[in-house]
Amino acid sequence: MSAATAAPGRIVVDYDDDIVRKFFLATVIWGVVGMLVGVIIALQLAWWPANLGLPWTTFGRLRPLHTNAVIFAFAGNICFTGIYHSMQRLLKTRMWSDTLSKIHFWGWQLIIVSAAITYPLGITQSREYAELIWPIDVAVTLIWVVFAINFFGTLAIRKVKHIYVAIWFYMSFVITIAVLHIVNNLAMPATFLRSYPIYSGMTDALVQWWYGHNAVGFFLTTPFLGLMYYYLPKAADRPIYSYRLSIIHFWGLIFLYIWAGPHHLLYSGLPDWAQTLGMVFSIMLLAPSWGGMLNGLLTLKGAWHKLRTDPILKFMVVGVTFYGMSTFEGPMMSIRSVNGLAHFTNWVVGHVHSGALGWNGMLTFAVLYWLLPRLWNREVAYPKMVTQHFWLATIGIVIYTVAMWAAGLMEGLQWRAVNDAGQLANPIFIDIVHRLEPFYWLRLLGGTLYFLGAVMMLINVFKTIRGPERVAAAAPATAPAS
Amino acid sequence: MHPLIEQARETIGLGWMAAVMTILFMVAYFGWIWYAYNPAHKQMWDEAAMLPFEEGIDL
Ligand code: HEM
Ligand code: HEM
Repeated sequence: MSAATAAPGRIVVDYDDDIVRKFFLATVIWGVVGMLVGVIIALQLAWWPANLGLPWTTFGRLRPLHTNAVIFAFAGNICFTGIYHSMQRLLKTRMWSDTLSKIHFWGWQLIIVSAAITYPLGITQSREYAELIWPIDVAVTLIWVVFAINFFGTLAIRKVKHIYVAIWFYMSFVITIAVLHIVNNLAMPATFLRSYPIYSGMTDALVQWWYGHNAVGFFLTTPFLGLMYYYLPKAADRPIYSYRLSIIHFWGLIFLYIWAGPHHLLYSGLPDWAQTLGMVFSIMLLAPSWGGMLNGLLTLKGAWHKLRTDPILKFMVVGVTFYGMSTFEGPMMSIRSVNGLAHFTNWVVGHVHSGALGWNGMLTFAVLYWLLPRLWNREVAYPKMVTQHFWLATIGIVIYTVAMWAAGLMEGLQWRAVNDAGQLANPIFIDIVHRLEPFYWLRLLGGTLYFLGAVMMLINVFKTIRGPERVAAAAPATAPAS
Repeated sequence: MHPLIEQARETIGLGWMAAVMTILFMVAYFGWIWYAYNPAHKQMWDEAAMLPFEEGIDL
């Protein structure tokens, strides 16, 4: 293992970077599409005529299109980009099967396209984050199995004995998403487009939020932590602060996450003890989450000066910081009394986007910008634009989340306010909805800034890959394989 | 005991299982910490932390 550092004993592997480039471009394109739909539905909430009066473009149909596009297309594709790129290098072997890699890529993109067609048509099974109808669910299962075979096949032929911590995080993603997807979608098909879940009532709700919360845990958190554990050390050019902490917080995180789903069902018909169980596990989840955040931030100890000049590190630090903020906010919101205020309000939407825009988005941008010159062996076309993107995105997130927090607190407090006679102080619901309008406009502003940043990245990427190839003069950088 | 936990115990009627699980997981957790922080393993972790920098082809 250590021999690999010595130049003569170097193992030269022909990595498959073609698949990485494919997933990379898919991330960039779907990211812009998903965020554009986000901006459109944000506009609709501020100004309803933006639904155009057509069934296909109403909020109820576009909202699942937004959530699925940003989670499964944007976040999903960056996870695959990072996994295919870093696992080959960490295990010093090419992927087990190039064919399976390609089936995975095209299959996944087809699934996304089918979602983009069915949702606007109103064809959905109405489970949040699992709206896909059963035939597409079957396709997801098959493609995921293809991915899993390739993933574990690659692990089996690895040339390095120790499995680096990032790969453990990827592994939890591969296994848990398979389990979540299958259990939550068990249903009895009635026709080609319609099916009935095998669960009913409270059991159905519990399964759905066990799935929903663990989608956050194992789609938006663990693979991203895997990315952090590989790309943050690479970008900062120093090993992770504490490897021991990384393996302890890994097991802590995956053990606790699985139990936290009931925090979505506080004050519901779920038995009280199960609600309390979910709440307690959610609060404990703060510890491993912050273990991960601190491990990331402390890696920069002694290298903070690099932040001033390196936009990639800027993206990473803000991303990891937002991870810390949303995993502090989440446990607080899981406390029954706090949830009584937050639930059903825009506070939840604020929490979601501080995690999604801050943690997932910023880390994604960092990884993309780090990979861009390396995958295509070209200089980034507009280096200054990377820093501009960073500032647009950061300001956008702040405007978005602050507006939603303020809106959510206002809503929550006004709903529960009573006058001296003990009657509701705001008995007319629509009055409170009207008071949200300025906050919705602010959110639109923040979201638009964030979206514009992503468009700048798209332009930068396409300009870069059309540019001239780097001349192999400087470092002994080998041309990317294949 | 907190009334809710008491209620949980009664509802599931399997308090012994909760107790056994708690003990098992605590043993596993502390055992894992002991393994991770055991000085004998320090070198192994230090080497593992360098894995991202040991590439065949330097990208
Ligand atoms: C340009 C950026 C974005 C804008 C303007 C935007 C806007 C919106 C809007 C208006 C909603 C509906 C809120 C409601 O129903 O009240 C929403 C929901 C949601 N968005 Fe975004 N979004 C953006 C980016 C993202 C990204 C990058 C992700 C994930 C990686 C994301 C994940 C979600 C999720 C999970 C929900 C559902 C929240 C819930 O059910 O509580 N969004 N977004
Ligand atoms: C320790 C970690 C976390 C805990 C304990 C937690 C807890 C919570 C709670 C209590 C809610 C509100 C449920 C409700 O009242 O309806 C919520 C909603 C949500 N959180 Fe988190 N959160 C955590 C981290 C994150 C992160 C890092 C992300 C994103 C990357 C995220 C994404 C979401 C989403 C998408 C929802 C909205 C679900 C929906 O109603 O559609 N959470 N979370």
